Amino acid sequence: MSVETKVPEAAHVVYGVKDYRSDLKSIWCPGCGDFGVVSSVYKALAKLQLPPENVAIISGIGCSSRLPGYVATYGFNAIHGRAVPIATGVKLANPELTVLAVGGDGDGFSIGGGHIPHAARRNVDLTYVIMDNQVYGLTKGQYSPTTPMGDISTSTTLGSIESPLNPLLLCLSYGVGFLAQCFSSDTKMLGDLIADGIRHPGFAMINVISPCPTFRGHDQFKHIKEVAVDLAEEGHDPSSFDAALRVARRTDHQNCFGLVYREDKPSYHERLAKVRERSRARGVYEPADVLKQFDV
Amino acid sequence: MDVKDITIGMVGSGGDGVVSAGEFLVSAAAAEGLYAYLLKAFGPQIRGGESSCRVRISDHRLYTHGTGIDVLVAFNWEDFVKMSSELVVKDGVFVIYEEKDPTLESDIPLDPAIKRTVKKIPLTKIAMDVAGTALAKNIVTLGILGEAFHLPSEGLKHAIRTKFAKKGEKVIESNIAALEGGASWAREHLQDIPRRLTYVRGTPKIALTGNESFAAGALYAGCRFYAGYPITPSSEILEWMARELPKFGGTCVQAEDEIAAIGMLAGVSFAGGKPMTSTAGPGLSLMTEALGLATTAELPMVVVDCQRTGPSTGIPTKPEQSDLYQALFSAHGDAPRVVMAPIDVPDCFRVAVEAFNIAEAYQTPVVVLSDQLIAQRKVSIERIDPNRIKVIERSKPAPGELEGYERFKMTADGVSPMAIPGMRGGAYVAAGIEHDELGDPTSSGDVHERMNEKRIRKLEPLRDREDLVLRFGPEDARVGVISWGSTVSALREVLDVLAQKERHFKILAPSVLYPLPTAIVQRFVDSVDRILIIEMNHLGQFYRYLRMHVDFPAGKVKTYHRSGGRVFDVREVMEQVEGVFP
Repeated sequence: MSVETKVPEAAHVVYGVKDYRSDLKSIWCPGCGDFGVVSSVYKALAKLQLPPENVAIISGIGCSSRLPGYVATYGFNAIHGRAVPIATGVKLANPELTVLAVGGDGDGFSIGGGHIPHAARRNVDLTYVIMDNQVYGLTKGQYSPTTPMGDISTSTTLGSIESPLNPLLLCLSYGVGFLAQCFSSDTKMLGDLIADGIRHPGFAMINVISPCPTFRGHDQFKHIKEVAVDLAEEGHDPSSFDAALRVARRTDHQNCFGLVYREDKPSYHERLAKVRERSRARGVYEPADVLKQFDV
Repeated sequence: MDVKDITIGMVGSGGDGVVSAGEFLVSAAAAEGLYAYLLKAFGPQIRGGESSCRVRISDHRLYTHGTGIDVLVAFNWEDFVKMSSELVVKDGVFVIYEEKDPTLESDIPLDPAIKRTVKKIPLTKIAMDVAGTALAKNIVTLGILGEAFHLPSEGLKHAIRTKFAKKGEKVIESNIAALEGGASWAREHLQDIPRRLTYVRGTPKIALTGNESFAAGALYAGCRFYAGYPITPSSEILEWMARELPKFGGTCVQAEDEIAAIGMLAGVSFAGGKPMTSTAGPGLSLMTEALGLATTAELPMVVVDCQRTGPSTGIPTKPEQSDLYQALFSAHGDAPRVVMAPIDVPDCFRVAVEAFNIAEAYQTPVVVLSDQLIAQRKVSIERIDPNRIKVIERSKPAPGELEGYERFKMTADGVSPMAIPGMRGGAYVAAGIEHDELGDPTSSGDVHERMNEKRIRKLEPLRDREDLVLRFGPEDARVGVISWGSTVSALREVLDVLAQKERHFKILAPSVLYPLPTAIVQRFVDSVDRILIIEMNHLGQFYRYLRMHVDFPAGKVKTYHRSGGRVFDVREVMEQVEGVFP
């Protein structure tokens, strides 16, 4: 059974955007790209009419990892880099929940980078929203795994000598079944992409270019708007892996927005259901009788 | 001579089947209601290297592998030389080896001072003759051992039938033929056996390892989620969970690393499940940060550390009790977590259930320190009655309590009802960041102090739980021994041996090491004239930890602690215990 069928379609609107907004005061700087992301999360949840108590948003550490506090759902602001395994646990414990993982480029691609291939492999039904600002903001401006080569930061005062990684290319190579990229200011597109990611029955990744005006300047917003490429308008076919790879290999890949790739494959829970069924065929006992299997 | 207790040692290369022969002996003993204790040892090769086993069998309860081997079967003397530290023989040992082996009796690599009876037996030939395959020589050997040394022969037949039940009647018949072929050869050729087992049959027992016992206890306690990463000597828990959990709608995940494994546990616990992982020292090191998270987010979970020698990779296949400091202290901040230790295989079941109960009742991570000696030994023991321990679930808010719900509410006992995702009105953000009663982040030192006090205070009642402190020996003894974990087994054997010499002592073994049952330990110390503290690590970690909390009058305490890598020998422990008698 596809998890998609469990997402309630709005027969009539019960929950508005405000029902997902918490009262907690934000610590983000004025103009932070992450405001657009949290607004898009509200929009996506409202679009899907998900009861707030049935949603869990899991994050690691970083500016963007504060996001769960600003949403009136269940949340978990955990430890650096571990949003994905924790979100995996939440979903495996209760598949009825809608589970989002959120965090920054440092949290997701640096300290937590080792978890993405395995999340893709397992294909647990999670939606992972990465807010990529190309910098460590919470610790005040060090270079991150997506900082362009040559850029000055507080830890690369003479310019970074490391090449930035390419999130789209690495996610495609890992086998992520739903991959999108968006600009944080485009809350309409981002809200729709997050909703689609939630609907996708498996691991969905949305890489959001979410600028940090404090450490990387206000000009980015203007610049990104000027160079943005709308993949749908360009006629990109997200069902084609080759086409997705071509997007990922563009020199301006970080400016390409929309659904990059989508492939339907069995989710972890679909495969797990079969394992459970097969294991029961060998006989089930009462847990109180667990020790009987050690009779000789 | 009839003996009440016999130990068989077997050594060979991959394909000789010595370890499976040892397992058959344990099953055979269990079938006839005897006790058995099996240690396996493997050389460093992944496959096909040398392996050995030693099985002790008796109709009285066994606490250790015993003092030496009565019967040695060497399929290959080169392998024996490599494994000789695992196979210390008794004086008067009966030695069996393959007739084809060119090694002269005078050349076998045993200490010349050791008296022995040596028999070369055509094991391969008998196997070929009766079963048509040389592979049956381990079963032929079992037939010989059963007949000559009066081991549980009917039990052996039963064990073979059960083991090969799925392989069909033909395989069973061939193996029974091998068993009987060995037995009839022994009847004809082996008289004058110096030591034969004598026993009274009992009610059938169960055969299992410590890892199996723990995993079964976890399932019984309601664990339906396991995540772990393979590591010796804990991997059998992962494998058992992978097989059993799906039957109950549960989930077992082999995580990409230990950090992911414990991360998944945090997520499962947050979502209302009862999760567990198992690992060894290196894995526990990787889990440290997330353990702190579980402490501060008040998440129930059980983490089993099957200790092996450390630091770093150490000797992965050998036991040591040296992760105590890590279990107690490896966290930044004031990070209390419950630490428990089972003493033997059946105790693993009890401690597993108690660990889940404590995790749930106090909303805390529980680290359980097993070790290789408990985890991987296989024993035949009495059936365990699981229903002795009631299973406890965490406190959740009643619908009325969800009005203005505070996840980390300051309650009298420090435990706050925990909302679970899906509960309307209970939404909160769990966090590693310091938080107030609502769960909202704070940088207030006052709130931090209050929350630290709550997280520490809520565990305090555990200090007075007499039911979580094991005691052995007469209450009025004037000599006391304090120990923990697998070492307690050796002490219990010494207790029985010395009782026969009218040298009485008593043992105190707390199942919960944090919070330490300080007053109970102090009363025990005060109740005796002399104290011995014994454990298997170089530093004396438990002794030093006790010293932080318990007042030891000068001159009253003796300690014995040495590195692991070698299992404690009963004689070694006995010498220490006798050393503290006045």
